[in-house]
Amino acid sequence: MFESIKRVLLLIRKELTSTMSDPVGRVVLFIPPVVQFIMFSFAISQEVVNTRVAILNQDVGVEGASLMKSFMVEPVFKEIVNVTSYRELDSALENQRVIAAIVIPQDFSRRVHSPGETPTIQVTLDGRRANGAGALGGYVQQIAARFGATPKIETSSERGLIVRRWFNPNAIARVAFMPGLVCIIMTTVGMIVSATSIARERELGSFEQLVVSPLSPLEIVIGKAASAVALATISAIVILLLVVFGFGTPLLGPLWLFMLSTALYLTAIICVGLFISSISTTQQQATLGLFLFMPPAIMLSGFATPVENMPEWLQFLTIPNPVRWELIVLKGLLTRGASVRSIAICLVPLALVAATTFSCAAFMFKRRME
Amino acid sequence: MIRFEETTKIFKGATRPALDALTATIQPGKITGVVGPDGAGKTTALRMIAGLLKPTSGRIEVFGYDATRDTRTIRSFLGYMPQKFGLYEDLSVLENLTLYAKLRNLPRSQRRSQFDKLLGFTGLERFQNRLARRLSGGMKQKLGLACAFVTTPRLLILDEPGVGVDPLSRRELWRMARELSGPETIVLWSTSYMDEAGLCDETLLLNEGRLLFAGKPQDLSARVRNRVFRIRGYSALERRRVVTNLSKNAEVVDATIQGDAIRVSFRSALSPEEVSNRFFNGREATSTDPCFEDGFIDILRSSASLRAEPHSHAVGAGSSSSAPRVVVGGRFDRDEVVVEARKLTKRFGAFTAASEIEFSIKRGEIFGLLGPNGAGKSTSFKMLCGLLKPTSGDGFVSGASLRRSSSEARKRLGYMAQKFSLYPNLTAEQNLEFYGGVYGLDFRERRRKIELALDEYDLRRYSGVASGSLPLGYKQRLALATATLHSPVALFLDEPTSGVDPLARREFWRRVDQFASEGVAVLVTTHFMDEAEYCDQIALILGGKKIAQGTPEALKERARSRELPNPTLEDAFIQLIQKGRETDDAIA
Amino acid sequence: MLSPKFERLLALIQKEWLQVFRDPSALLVAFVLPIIMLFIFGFGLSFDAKHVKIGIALEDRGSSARAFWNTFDATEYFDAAFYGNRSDAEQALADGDVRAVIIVPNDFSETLERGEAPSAQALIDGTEANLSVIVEAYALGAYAKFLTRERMERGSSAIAPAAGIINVETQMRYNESRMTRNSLVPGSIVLILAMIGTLLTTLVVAREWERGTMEATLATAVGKFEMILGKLIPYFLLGLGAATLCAVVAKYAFHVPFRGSLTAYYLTASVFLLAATGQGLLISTVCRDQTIASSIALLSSFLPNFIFSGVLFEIDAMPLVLRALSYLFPARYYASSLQTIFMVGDAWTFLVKNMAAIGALASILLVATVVKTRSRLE
Repeated sequence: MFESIKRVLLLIRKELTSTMSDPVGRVVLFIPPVVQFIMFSFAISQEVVNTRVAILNQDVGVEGASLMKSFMVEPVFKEIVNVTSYRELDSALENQRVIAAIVIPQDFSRRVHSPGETPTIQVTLDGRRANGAGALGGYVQQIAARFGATPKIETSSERGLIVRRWFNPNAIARVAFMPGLVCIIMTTVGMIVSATSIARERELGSFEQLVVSPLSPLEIVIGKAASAVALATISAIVILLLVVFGFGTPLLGPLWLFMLSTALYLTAIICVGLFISSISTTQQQATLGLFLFMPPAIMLSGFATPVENMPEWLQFLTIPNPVRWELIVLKGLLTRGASVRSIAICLVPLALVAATTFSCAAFMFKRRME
Repeated sequence: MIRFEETTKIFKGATRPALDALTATIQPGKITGVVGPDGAGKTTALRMIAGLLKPTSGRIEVFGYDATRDTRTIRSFLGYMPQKFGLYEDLSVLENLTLYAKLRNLPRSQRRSQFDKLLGFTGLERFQNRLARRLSGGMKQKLGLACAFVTTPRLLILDEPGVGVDPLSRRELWRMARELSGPETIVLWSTSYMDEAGLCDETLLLNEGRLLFAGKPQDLSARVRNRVFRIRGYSALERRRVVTNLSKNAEVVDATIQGDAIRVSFRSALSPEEVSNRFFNGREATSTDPCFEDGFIDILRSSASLRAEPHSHAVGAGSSSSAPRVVVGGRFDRDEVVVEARKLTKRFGAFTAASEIEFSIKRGEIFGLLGPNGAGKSTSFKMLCGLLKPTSGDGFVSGASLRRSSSEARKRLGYMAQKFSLYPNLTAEQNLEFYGGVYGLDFRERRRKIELALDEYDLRRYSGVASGSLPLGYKQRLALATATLHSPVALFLDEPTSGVDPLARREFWRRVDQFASEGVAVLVTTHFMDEAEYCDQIALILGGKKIAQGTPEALKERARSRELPNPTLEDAFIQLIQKGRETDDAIA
Repeated sequence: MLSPKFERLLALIQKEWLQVFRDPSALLVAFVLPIIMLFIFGFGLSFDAKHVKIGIALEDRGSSARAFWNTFDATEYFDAAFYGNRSDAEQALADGDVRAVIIVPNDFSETLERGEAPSAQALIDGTEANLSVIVEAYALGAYAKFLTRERMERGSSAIAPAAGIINVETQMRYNESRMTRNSLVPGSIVLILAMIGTLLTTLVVAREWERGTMEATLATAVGKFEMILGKLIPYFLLGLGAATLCAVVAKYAFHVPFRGSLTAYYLTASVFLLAATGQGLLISTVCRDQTIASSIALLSSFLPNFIFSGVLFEIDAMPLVLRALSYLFPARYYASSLQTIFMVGDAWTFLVKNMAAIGALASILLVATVVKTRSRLE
């Protein structure tokens, strides 16, 4: 037992020195996190800003013009295109010069001023823009509501549905994406470190030498997994520091919970990587295998669109997806300040998935050795 | 005719030229061997002829065409087989042939007859529709050759066609090359096997980019005429000691064990009597025919002694610090069995790769495992070192079962793969550290042994260098040092010296001999007949079964006949295998 | 009698076909990946916020408050859960159990009885950026609906309008059923064709180098153009095959409308495939280390097409540099062309403009490939 632990520790030390002394290894460890950090914090966004909207104002009254003005001052819109006919409006939409078109009808001003009548505007959204169109429709509705709320006729103010946005009051996309960012960086580092590791050794030939040594298959898998978890945890801590001090987002839950969930998650992910690695003979195959796993796992985790939007049977299928659980944990810890209890529940599926993937990796690895 | 004129090739970022001012002429109608160890520049030279590489300076003329300018013309009459045969693994035998026939524009009307001829020649007609990836190594090689021959080229370039091929298949390749090439064809055959060089009509001997010799192989051997002798009358233990001592003698160029005799070549011509009296206390010395390798070693030795500091590290045996230490015959029980194979059987699905293989290796014994490709030799070897799990039967390393206490058994053996298989981005010392620890050496012992090994194998000069960038000879030393750091009782070697120059090979085997004389049991698998000659016992594997076992001399004895009064080990090997196949067929 | 050149080219193409159908990793990229992509974009991703979980904290137990709750629960947009007090509901929001909380204060019914518009509070989880916008709009809409109904029930002037409510009639043009799938599935075809064109091409070239077949082929009389066309044509055709498969799956399995013509569909696909295959060939020509080449191909065929297609992410929200960069990737033009063909129809002015842009990029890539290709190993 003692011997065995010593061997595993040696293997871990070797893995760490080997990765650190290999220029390619270092690049793999540090470049993707940096690139992703930049990409996700600046480039990838589902935020709806800088949009162009066409307005067809048929109302000659004051209210139509003032509604238009209130559209123009909105930061969501970069440009308001005034169109004069429906034909022009249709063509602007079709050619994607604008993402939405707003029609203020002739009787708009009149209806605003006659009590009991509700003024109406029409919004036509470009259905091709799945994300932008829906959100933009929401914005137009809010603007209209705010426009209506400014007293025109005697009304009791401070009434109605008062909306407050919690956790991210200014609706900053970066804040919303942050947990996803942390999660994806951890995932990439963990997967890359582990998925190519065995395949790489196979290609180099060092694998045989390792296998004929007294190290048992189980010891090799443990050593490989532990060193990969160690490396990926380091990058997770770096990212956490960056998020906390760089973005000024405090950790809203206990640190131990972050570390524990991260360790479990990384174990789960890294064992998937080792599994892929143990069934592939070349690094190229391993990379391909990685690719077959990672994008679906990330996309079906609630990262790009919420899990609850999926059909029910698919939501059910995402239960074994570790990314989904880690994302819930990170969102709870970094943005919402969820209760320890509600986060701790996610550790159960994470632990189960980690145990399963570890057994699969160890089993596959052992089988491939025979 | 091919003419190299001062052709030099320096690759981007390399410090020394891959090919250094080569000037040579190659005549048609002959098989010209491009001979040399790995890194000699063989492939570079061949690729430049095919226009695949451009010389840095100098020029190459092929049948009057310039290899750089008239590439398309040259390629229209060229048959080329690259190192990995250039076969499409997912295409069948026939599809590969058809593809190359079309790419070389063989008229449709001639295809069928040409294919029939080639398939008949290679014995592949039964496998026409088999995918190339399902062919054995030897069959792939034959198919690769057939693809290169598909249009009866005027120039045929074969880059190491004999690599990893057993002697039997290699002989068939030679027969094909001889019979298929026309009277005006140039055949270029590159090889790192010195005994293959002897089969060529002409040879270009390259070493580290430089031409050492051009001419008939016999002319090179003639260099050392009357300088090579065989001495009999020593016991196995004595032989090793004598060889070790001889290799330090200034008058000796080379000394090796060959079967029950010692083979020595001297710096100057001597008479048998002189040799017998001056060096061997009157034991009988007979003059023997020198071979190509003797000539090569002679050139290397004389050039190495000319250069004060051998900057070529592949030729490593020159410096005295790297010479193996001499510890003669530790005391141990010569009858103690260390490695034992008991009815080792491996099945892959319906296919039995190895069937009830049995043998045992005693302390101090060097045991060779030989056999054609796909015969089960590697499978048996892999089962014994724990790389494969036997379907039934078991193997033991000093009593520990590979099946039941595999980790225990593996602790007692040292393993060295054919390919360099340590961590290339760790230094020599880090590699030694890791494996020393994994094999359970405690810190102080580990340090002591590593310090010893760094001196012993002269690895200190490369401290801090990632072992992946060590010269070939040093990689091999490091691999041996690592495999033996934990003082294993058994040493497993998988074709340990393929591609290294003969001097490095000599040095390597002297070290292995040294381990054997200290009581280590050594198991070797190889295609090299001269590696096999080092063995005390040889087992021959065919069709997954052991068909013969004995000392090299005993095996040669079995092959002795009127037509073959003095068979080499290769002759014995081929004969035994042919006999084995015949009985197989008879039973079937 | 075929010219020797043409015969060699045919032989190369034929070989490539046989290879693809016998090589598991090629089959994987050519057939399994497309299905996975279609699956993810068709089922896994959706911006359709329906049945969003919200919590309603009823501090007022009056019947009007209940009616208010019912209004929220009745729409298909919300699944409303009941919470007895405010703090429970707020905790549920923090724990992510609900996306929004509506707090109905204890004077709700009373205010309504008085004939005034009652106030209520909506707390929305801001961590799902777009969802929060949509949820807010839905909530406002539901509130307006509630008031209108109350007003109607009590007589139109019984309740003074809380705020001058403006009715926003929203029409989702080209996608009347408001299924985001209709635009995401065509968007995924960009990724699929890019991966076949770029990744598959690079992988097969990498394998040829690895196995020495490239060396052997180079040493025959095969010329540079035959070499390039021998790779370009098969994967171009394979890509068109995949495009057909995608269209069929999109139309019949995901019920995405196909309003354009097949001519427009195949024309845009062809131009895009030229660009994608050109990219793959260029990568494997310039980068001789094949492990690196395939990694570059993997990244460059997936990431830019994923990000710059604008299917999932908003190009308009990117910094200027990236917005400018996005014009250099064919994905940007192809994604919107595909969505147009599927959802709008043959809007030729739009399509031709986009095709011209892709075509220009494709020719740059192909010319670079031709320039960089050598019939040597270095």
